[in-house]
Order: sequence, then structure tokens, then C-alpha cells
Amino acid sequence: MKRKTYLRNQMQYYSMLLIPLGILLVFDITPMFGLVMAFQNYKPTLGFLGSNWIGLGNFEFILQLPEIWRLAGNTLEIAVLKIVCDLTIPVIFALILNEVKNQKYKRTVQTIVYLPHFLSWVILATLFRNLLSSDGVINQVIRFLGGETIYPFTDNRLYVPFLIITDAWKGFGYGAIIYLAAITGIDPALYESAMMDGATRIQRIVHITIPGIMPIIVLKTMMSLGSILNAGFDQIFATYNPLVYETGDIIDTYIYRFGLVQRQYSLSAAIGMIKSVIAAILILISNFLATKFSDYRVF
Amino acid sequence: MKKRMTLGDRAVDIFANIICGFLAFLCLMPVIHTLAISLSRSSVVEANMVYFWPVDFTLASYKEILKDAQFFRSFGISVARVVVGCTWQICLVTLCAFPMAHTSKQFRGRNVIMVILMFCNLFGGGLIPYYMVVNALGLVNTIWVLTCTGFSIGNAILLMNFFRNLPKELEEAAEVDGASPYRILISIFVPLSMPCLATILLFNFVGHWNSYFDGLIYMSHTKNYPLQTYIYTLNSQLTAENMAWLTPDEIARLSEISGKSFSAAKVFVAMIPILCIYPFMQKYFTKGLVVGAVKG
Repeated sequence: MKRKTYLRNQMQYYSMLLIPLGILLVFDITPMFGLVMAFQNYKPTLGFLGSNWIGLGNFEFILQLPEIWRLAGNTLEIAVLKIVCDLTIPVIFALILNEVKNQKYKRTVQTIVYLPHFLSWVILATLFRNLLSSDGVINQVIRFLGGETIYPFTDNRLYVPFLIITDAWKGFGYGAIIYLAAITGIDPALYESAMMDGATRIQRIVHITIPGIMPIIVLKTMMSLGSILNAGFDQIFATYNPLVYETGDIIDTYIYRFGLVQRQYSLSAAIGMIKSVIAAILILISNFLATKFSDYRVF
Repeated sequence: MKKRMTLGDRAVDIFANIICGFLAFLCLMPVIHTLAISLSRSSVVEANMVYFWPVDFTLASYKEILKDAQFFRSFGISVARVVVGCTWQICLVTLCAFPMAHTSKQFRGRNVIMVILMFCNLFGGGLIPYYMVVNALGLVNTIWVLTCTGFSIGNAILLMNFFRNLPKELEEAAEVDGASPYRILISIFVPLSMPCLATILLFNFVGHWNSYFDGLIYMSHTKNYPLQTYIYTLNSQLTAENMAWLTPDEIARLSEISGKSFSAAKVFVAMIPILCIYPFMQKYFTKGLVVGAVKG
């Protein structure tokens, strides 16, 4: 290639990246400098230069907060339970849906089960408040079956199961897409020869379909390590209230209340910093594992 | 080839059909319940007599919405944010993905920029420093803070990988003919990447339509709330803590008890754009997702 063309191409590539990188500089990298407040006793009136530097004081204070361990525990518990559901239910659903032979019925079911994924937690919160109110449909059914009325929105024991179940409900259909695609990629000749040999449908699922989608399951498992601190802010923020703080309050919601509502800027920035460093390490590990143990690569 | 089904195989068939039907019902049930509530008379709804079919059919709740100026305002803000936000995202993601889809030999400095992108993808300043930047730029209470203050690096990488899987010969041939990178991007890469761009468009449409937290934080007046934030404030119960946080105006709005069927009608209207768009985009996102996830 001619030198002139080469130079022109370089210029044009950089000019394309001008706006994206500029946006990152202003809205992503600049705020990172704001994190110095985690090492200060930051007062908005004094600014970054006028506020006192207190070294690791904020971090020491945080680690002594009695609620911090409860928050970490809640976050981990909710996130891990969600990951477990996310790794199992979509696979099982994909396997079952794959056995439906009527294509029209199959497509209708697929379209319907994708729906919850696209609805916001604000809307879903309203839907579930209606369904789960003390005289709502679900409680009427429970009472009919002889059970006791449940109040998931105000009961600490039931709030976490409520989060897990509704999250699984929202995501299982959409989560199955990737497995359904992997199943389509399995060589039909395998099924045909298995049928010739007299394999039953269950045997075909166990010995052909499941091994066929195993690489995706492994990949998803490793990638999910990165979301182990991600308990789902949008869902919890839209549904929680002070009555369920004991089990439902997570690090992210606490940072919001502590930082923006109680205006503890430095302390909440310090908590956020600890969390995002751990989260970044986890994501890097999971990407590393994914690259190493399957042929996935990000960049 | 056809083979006679054994009894066990038939059982699997029936089981699969029933389970799938049941799951589809579970996914649709809350939506239908809400629709039924919104179309029923308030008194019947408060007595919990409405299940999956309207009782005492009435459009009163929807007529009530027509009188709610704030609902329309918020709806308009949400529409505006979807239009502006999606356009912005598509442009930035494309501009970012195209140079990055080249090798470091074709585009010098690519690997350094990739590291920067990865770094920005992993870390951020967090809520408060970000708020300070936005505030310093005078973007609080404008639509720009909801739409144009960033772009999804994840989507850019998705598109980059899609670009990379297009045949190399296309670009080479165009280059021989003297086409510039901008020309190649617009005339060759963009038209060929429609499935992937449609997926990204859908993700952003849904993301913008559904997000509520940013509206709550960056808009200090209720009148600037996008629709989901507005619905959120209708839902959230009054607590001592957000009493301190909200303005008297908002508290007054919250304490005015809104009837169940009225709020069900609002929620249903808020769902309509999603209900209209996602079934038609289905073939794109099922494909686009897989391209992004399976092949790196």
C-alpha cells in the first residue's frame, strides 16, 4: 500500500475514535480522579484541594461498620443464588423446549417467554405488588390450598426468595436463547444414527444434546464469576423498603443511600472503590478462565 | 426419516408440551392480570375480584390517564430519550468498532486503545464523582445526561467482532478502488451489519425505555422525569428517608393514593412500546446475541 494512503487511513481511523474516546475521557476517566475523595474527609464547600487528607481513614472506618459484613453477605447470597438459577433453569428450559416438535407452538412459546426480560423492574414491581398483595391472586391461591398469607415485600425471610424467583422468571426465556442456538448447531446425523441404534429420546438428550451444549455451559459458568458481586441493583431498588433491609440491603443500594441521601461522600466513595476493585479482579479472572478453558476471547 | 414413537418418547413429547405451555402462561400471567385490572371498575378491583378477565369492563382508568398531564410529559421525555439515545449509541458504537476491527498493523495504536477501552469498561468513578462532572457541565435536568454521556463498550466489542467476521476481501477490493475508510464503513460495513446493528438498537431501545434510576438522580424536578421514573415514584412507599430526600411537591404527589386500576393502566401503557417492538426484533436479537457470545 502506498505510504500516502496508509497515512490517510490512520488519520481517518483516529478521527473516528475522536468522539468515543473524548466521551470516555470526560465521563469515565475524569470521574476516576474524583475517587481521591475516598482518601479525604471531603466537604463540597472546601472542594478537593481544601478538604483534609486522611489517608486510609475512611477504609478503616468502613471495615469497622457493623453493617458492612451483613451487606457483603446479603450481596453475595443474592448474587450467588441468582447465578445458580441462571446457570440451570435456562438450560433445562432449552432442553425441554427443544423436544417440542410443533414448530408454530414452539415459536409462540419462545416469543412469550422472552417478554419478561424486556420489561423494567419498575413495571414488574407494580405487577408483583398486585399479584402478591395480602388479598392478591397468589395469596388467594395459597389460602385456598390451606397455606398462610405471605408478605414477601415486608418479610425478611421471604424477600430474598422473592428476588431470586422473580429474577429467574424474568431471565430464563432470554437466557435460553444461547443454548437453543447451540442445539441447532449440533449435527443432525448424530441424532439419526442414535435413532437407528434404537436410542430413546431421553438417551438422545443425555448423550447428544447435553454434551453438545456443554462448552456453552462451561463458558457461562466461568463468565458468571464476574457477576458475583452483582446482586441486581435495579430489581432491589424498585422493590425494597426499610422493613427488608436486614436481608435485602446490598452494597449498591447502601452506597446510594449512604452517599446521595445521607451525603457521606467520602465514605461511600471508599465503599464503591473497594467493591469495584474486587469486581474488576473477578471479571479479569473469569475472562482469563474463559479464554483458557474454551475458545472464547473478548478482544 | 420416520420412526414409530415408543411409549416413553410419547411421554417426553406430552411432558415437554405441557411444561412449555405452563411456563408461557407464567410469563404472561402478570401482564394479563394487570391488563384485566386496568379495564375493570375500581370498586371490583379493590374487592380483589379481578383475575385474568376484566370484571365490569370500563375504560375509566385510561380516560383518567388522558387528564394526567405529567404522565404525557414523562411519556414524551421517554420517547425523546429513546430517539436521541439510540441514535447516539449507534453512531458512537459504529465509529468505535470500525477502527478497532482492524489489526494493529493496519491501524497503528489499536492495541493501546483497546487497553484503554477495556480499562474504562472495568472501572468508573462511581456515582458521586460522576454526578459532579455532569453537574459541572450543567447537564443536570437535561435530556443529555440520560442519553449522551457515554456509550456501551460492550456493544462496540460486539459490533467489532461482527465486522471482523465479514470477508476480508470486501475491504481490500474497495481499498484498491481507492475508497477511504469512511467510505468503506458507510457503503460496505454498515449495510452488511444490519442484523448486528438491529440487535444493538433493540438493546438500547429497551435499556433507555426501561431505566429509571438515572432519572431519579439527575432530574431534580418531577416534571423532568422519564416515564419509568415517574412510575417508580408512584410505587415507592413513603419512608422517613426518602421523605427527607424528596421535595414537598413530590411528597404530595406520592401521598395522593392512586387507585389500583389507575396505576395498572399507566403501567400497561408504559409496556406498550416494548410489546410492540420486541416480537418483530426477535429474529435479530436471537442471531445477534449468538454471534456476539459464541464466537469471539
